[in-house]
Amino acid sequence: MQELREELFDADVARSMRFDSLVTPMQKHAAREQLLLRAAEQAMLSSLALPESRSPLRDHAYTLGQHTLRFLNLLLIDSSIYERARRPPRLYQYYNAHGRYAFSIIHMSA
Amino acid sequence: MNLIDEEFSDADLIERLRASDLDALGALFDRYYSQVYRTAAAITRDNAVAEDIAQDCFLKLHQYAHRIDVSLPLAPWLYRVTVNLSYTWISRRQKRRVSLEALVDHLMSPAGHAPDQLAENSEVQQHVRQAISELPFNQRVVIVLHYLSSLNLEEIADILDCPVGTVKSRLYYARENLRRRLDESHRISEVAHGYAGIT
Repeated sequence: MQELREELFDADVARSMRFDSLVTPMQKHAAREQLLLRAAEQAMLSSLALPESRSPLRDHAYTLGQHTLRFLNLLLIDSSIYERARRPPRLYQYYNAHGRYAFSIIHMSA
Repeated sequence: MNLIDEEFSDADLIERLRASDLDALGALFDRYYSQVYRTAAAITRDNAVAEDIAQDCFLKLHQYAHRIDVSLPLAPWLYRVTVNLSYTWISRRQKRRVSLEALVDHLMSPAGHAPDQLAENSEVQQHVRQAISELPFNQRVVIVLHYLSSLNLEEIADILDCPVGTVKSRLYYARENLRRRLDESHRISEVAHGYAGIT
């Protein structure tokens, strides 16, 4: 029963839409003539230029080059790591859990 | 040479159109005008506007001929342009804030005036059309593409560029809305004819 109602509903909707806007031959002919006239005056857009395709090998070479440059920069120019290693360790003095005097090395980043 | 013949695929005709062959545009027009026009008319409920939208749609086909992917079917592209143009028209009309009276007149008026159409304009169909025209745009488009153009959910999703689940949900809510509105109008009609309360 429910399926029948659904089918009737679908049929009603489809039928009311199909007969809603029929195109007459005269209307179509006039529209066609008008379209061709307007299209003759209109310029066509050119095709879009495709983006330059890059090969995967070229991409890998580029990435490898970037990493190498960064590594060389770290070794030769950036001295912060060397400076940090050269500094004497900082000592932190405190009483430990047994009440004894102790000290520890604190690792601090630059 | 008759370009309307089925031996010319849409892709062939677009290739010819790219070479500035307007007969190819005419052939594509003959092939798809009815679908485009009826879709626009069903969405906008205005035949004059539907004619303009169909014109613009085929002018865009001419303008963008070089940018259309001929490996894909043309119909979804045309439907997409039609829906977008209809949406633009409807949103502009809403901005113009037409008076309530004019809107009611517009919704109540039949879309066509040909004698064969008038014969088909039964009361039920009139109610259905009015109920469809009152649906939100997204739901109306799905209903039009599903019932008028007989497209399946995947095709509609492709045209609207949204997931199939979204189309499914819009169709569900559109049908529920339609059913509710039709029930209401049926009840009003019964009251008007004095059938209410008769069991």
